[in-house]
Amino acid sequence: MSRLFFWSVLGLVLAALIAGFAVVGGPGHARAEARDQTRRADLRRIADATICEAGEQAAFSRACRDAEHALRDPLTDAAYEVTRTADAIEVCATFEVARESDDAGRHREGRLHFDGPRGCLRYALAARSGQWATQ
Amino acid sequence: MAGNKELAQFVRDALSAGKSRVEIAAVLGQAGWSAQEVSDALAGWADVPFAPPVPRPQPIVTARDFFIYALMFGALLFGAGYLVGLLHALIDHFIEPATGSATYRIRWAMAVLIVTLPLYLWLATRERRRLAADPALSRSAIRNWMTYVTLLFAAAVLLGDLVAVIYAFLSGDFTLQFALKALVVAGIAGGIFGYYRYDGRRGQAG
Repeated sequence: MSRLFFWSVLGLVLAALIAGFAVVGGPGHARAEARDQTRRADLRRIADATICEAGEQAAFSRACRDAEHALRDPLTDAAYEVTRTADAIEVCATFEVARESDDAGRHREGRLHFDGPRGCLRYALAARSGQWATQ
Repeated sequence: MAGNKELAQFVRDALSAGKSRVEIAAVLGQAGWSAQEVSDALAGWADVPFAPPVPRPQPIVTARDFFIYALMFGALLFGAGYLVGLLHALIDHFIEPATGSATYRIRWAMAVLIVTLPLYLWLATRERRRLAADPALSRSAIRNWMTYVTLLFAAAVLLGDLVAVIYAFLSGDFTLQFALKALVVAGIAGGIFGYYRYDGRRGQAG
């Protein structure tokens, strides 16, 4: 009985641990996830900075203090790609593990648009209100 | 057991004076002691014909026992809680993927289990060996208490699980995800309860 208990406890917990590893990945995967989080935050700050430069957004004044242009990719140290036109801003980064499906519940804070590993944050200028809005 | 010093002293004196157990039980009964108290007090002395009464071994309380058993049962309860958490997070992940927060829960639970699993198994095996080598150690009062505290926790969790299932059923939330989670809780709490009830009974018999 005690032997059975011992082995079933060991078996159950080991199986759960292995399944856990399979789901969340090892430390390397976790670091990649953390870098993707950084990229996500960086894209927002760059977009904020770009909008601040446009200068007509009082509502963004708080965001402007944290805005930062000179951010670089945490892994490759490459600059992020910023594309600006009169009525649209697109800031892009190459993500390691994040994909479109991870963004399912993120409508309000601006979701990333993915094309393969490349994810972009898009803002458009609303013609009527003159406000930048995430797409 | 032997909660009353004067009663134990009296029984000792009476046995030394050569009174029979039946006589002692009768006078104690007349004095108002309950049958249980009387038999407990008499059970404290071995029933052998020897001049000063021979004491029976009493439950042992030692600081070492407290340390070992509190650590062991602490690891068991903590580990079991996080095993449930880990399995629940896995169920969430497989049935409803991309909720994000599951990965943090999974990592934390894994860290807890990697520490508590070997600790619990090591302590439990070590104590089992010690007990097998010296059965007198099963009189450890702390071991008994910890066993019953664990039984209490396991029983409370089982009852809570049952309540949650009935509530979910009544409120129409009884999904596959919920059923699996409830099953995990019932399986783990039930396993611990079953094992320690068996263990507690054997401890009392021995």
